[in-house]
Amino acid sequence: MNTATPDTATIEVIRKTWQERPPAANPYLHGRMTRALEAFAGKGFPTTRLENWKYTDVRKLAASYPEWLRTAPDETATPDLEPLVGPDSVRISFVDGIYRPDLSTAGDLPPGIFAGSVSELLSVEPALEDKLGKLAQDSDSAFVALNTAFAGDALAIVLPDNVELQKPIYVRFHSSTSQLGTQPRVMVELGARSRATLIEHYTSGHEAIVNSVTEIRCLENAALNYYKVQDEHTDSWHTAAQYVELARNAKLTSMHLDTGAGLARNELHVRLAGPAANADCKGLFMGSNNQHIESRINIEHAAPETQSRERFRGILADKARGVFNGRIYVEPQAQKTAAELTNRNLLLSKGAEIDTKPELEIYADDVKCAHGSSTGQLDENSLFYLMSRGIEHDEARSILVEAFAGELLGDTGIEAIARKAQQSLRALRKVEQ
Amino acid sequence: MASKQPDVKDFVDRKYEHGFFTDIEADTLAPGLNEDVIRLISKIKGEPAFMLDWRLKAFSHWQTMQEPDWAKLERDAIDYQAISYYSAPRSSADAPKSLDEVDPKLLETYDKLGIPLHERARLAGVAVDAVFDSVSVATTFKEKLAEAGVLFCSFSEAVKDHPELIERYLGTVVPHRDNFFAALNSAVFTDGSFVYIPKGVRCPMELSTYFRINAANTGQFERTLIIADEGSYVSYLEGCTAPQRDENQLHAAVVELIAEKDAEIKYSTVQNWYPGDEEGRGGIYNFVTKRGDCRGDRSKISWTQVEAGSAITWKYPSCVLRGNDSVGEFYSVAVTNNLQQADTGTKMIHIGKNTRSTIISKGISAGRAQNAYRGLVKIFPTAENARNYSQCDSLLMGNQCGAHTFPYMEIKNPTAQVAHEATTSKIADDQLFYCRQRGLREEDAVNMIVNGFCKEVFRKLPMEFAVEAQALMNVSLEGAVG
Repeated sequence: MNTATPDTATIEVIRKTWQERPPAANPYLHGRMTRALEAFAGKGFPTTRLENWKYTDVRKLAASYPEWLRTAPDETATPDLEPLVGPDSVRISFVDGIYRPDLSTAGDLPPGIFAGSVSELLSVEPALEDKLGKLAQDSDSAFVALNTAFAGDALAIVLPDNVELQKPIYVRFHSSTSQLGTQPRVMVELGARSRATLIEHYTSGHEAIVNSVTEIRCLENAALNYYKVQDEHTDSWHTAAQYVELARNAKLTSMHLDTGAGLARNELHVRLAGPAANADCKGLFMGSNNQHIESRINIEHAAPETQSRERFRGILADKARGVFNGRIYVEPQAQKTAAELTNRNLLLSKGAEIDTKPELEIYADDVKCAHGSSTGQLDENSLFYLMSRGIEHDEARSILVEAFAGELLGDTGIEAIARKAQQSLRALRKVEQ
Repeated sequence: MASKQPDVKDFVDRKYEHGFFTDIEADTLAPGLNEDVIRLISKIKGEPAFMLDWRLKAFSHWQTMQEPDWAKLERDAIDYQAISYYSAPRSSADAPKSLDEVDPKLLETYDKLGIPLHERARLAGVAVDAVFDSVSVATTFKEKLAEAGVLFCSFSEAVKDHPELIERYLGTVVPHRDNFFAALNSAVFTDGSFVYIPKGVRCPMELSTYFRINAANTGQFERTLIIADEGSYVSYLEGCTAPQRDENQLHAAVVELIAEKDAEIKYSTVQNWYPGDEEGRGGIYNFVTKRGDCRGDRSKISWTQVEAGSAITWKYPSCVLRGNDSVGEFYSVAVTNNLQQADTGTKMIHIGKNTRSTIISKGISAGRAQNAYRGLVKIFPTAENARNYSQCDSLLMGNQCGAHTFPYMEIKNPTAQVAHEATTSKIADDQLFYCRQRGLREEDAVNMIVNGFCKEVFRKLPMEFAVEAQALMNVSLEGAVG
């Protein structure tokens, strides 16, 4: 009953577009892409009849997809890409889905660290084949399958054991061509006891379709700080999924900032696969006008003594609609798990909407799991307090909204990202007035 | 955990106390479902034409529907053609007017259940409309209620005596096409309870119905309709037990509550149907649609439930808060042991201004059971200043059970305040240690902690029910810890 009826006409056009593209040189990759295309064709675009897509309707996106996939990228575009983080970072830039060495500084990476294409990596390390696509399964989601089929080559970043990378790696995906569909794909592996910071930043100059998939594997005792900033053009469609697997004692600290796109949907999947693995995930999404922003997290505790904490907040103005879904899944063997999920939302105007669903699914008994969710408007007492001290109504509201976000942004490791969030908040407040 | 004590072992092995089968002759229809069966049911019950029309509409819609599969339940498919849709005790033709006329075997059944009908009714001042299988056979305290103007009778009587009320209210809260099981119930329901509280009347006693499932292979389809007219108040109790059985029995009831302006309905349930044996064989499938409609301003509907029995429980007592300043409440304790499964919760639909709702749900999962809370809080754009508070706590006992929480919140008004909290944990070792150190047996300590965990809900039950519920809790969880 709960299966989407694939729109055969759309699928056929997408299949034709795929066939017209030059096949991947690497036979393994080509086979993978072929299988992914079939996986997508079997599923079709999801409909709101599917539980996981209940609140997000992608019919309009699906209608534009075939054509936008055919749009030719501009290989010579020279957009002014002001990096989000300072010069003290390793930059890797993609414009219209094409790697741009002229806008990148991957050469600055210390020796031993690989940052390049997957096909390049496959030629030196064929064992990689067993790892690719293992975390993000094409059978799980039509969008992952679509990404695998069209992404072809992916960005691979591999840190060997015992490397502590001081500089953050800043990966920028920019769409400069109007009505272009891109499928960014990133694969990251951190060796045992390695540490790194990775920032993914998505922007577009015009309306675009962006469908990204990131796979991250952290081996024993590795630690990754992960940031994803989505600041697409307000007419863009952005769908993204990150799949993270943490081995024994590995740690993920993540922050998601979603401010752009007309329709955005982000899924963060974290699997705590090794004992004592730890995940601390934060997210802030904000929308105005008719934006539709969905943020999903799926945390799987698969080993004993794993810990996770998820804090997500949404701020919605005008007619914007926010969707939050948080799921904590505890497998039977994951005893002594501690998990805590909170979602707080602020509705700033009439017409704004939030649909939230924090889920717990627990099969182990010796656990401490909690989730909480609250939604409301700004607290009248706080507003009164500020106004009674001579602060104008609008200013007082601004302070409170910033404070609401500030509780999350307080310990953002990279200040530039916190600043970016504050900036978006101010823009949101302007729209609201 | 500490070594098992012999008494714990005894508890584990203890069989379902209320499992027995009363041998009474029953008029039972051959298994199967088609339009003729529905016509026959309607004819046997001597219903007016509008009832038959309504049943047939429901049936034709039901045939177009698919059985829902979204709940977190695993079960065998139900063969709806293998169920007999009507069964009435032999003496139904000349229904007894008083307890003396009731079949002595029936009374014996109630005695075994520990419900001395006459005694209890007199002592507790409770009017009992006991439903034995599908037809009401004993009704008490009618006179006292009649004095107050309260109508409390079986559904079939209401159809005969007050067809105008039935026609006006039936299916207005749970329409015949609402969901798969509600549609089935609308087509084939045989009896149930009907309550009407007139304007401004405070019902002089707590109303109570005991449901019993008896003859084998008979699905039980009850329909309850409670109407509280302007400014009235009623408290209604529903309690269930069932004989032991090997095949799964389907129970698809519908309960409709209507609260007009300033009216209040308090609906309490203790459900202890046969849960199946240790291996999950047998047991009742309890698929119930319960919904209350707060139609008038300042009306209030409160659901309290203790769900301890049934192999599968699938029910979501809901409140539609239509009137301004109306209030909805849901207090629930769901206990699952062995291979029981429960997917239960509530829906609070806020439509009117200043509507408020509270959800307190306590789930206890033991053995290899799965226990899920599933709830929806929906705030319409019209629901200015709506408030909701939800709390869902789960307790896990044993490492093979599961506890799940699926709260949906859909908020379309910025003046609303919605808060949800949930926790899942096991009984803390230090709590147990503390109790045992003071000389309590492990079983007693667990009972004490569990009762404390459920206290918020038990407090909401009428007194006799609260006592029963606590005892039920202890019995249900026997042997769960060790």
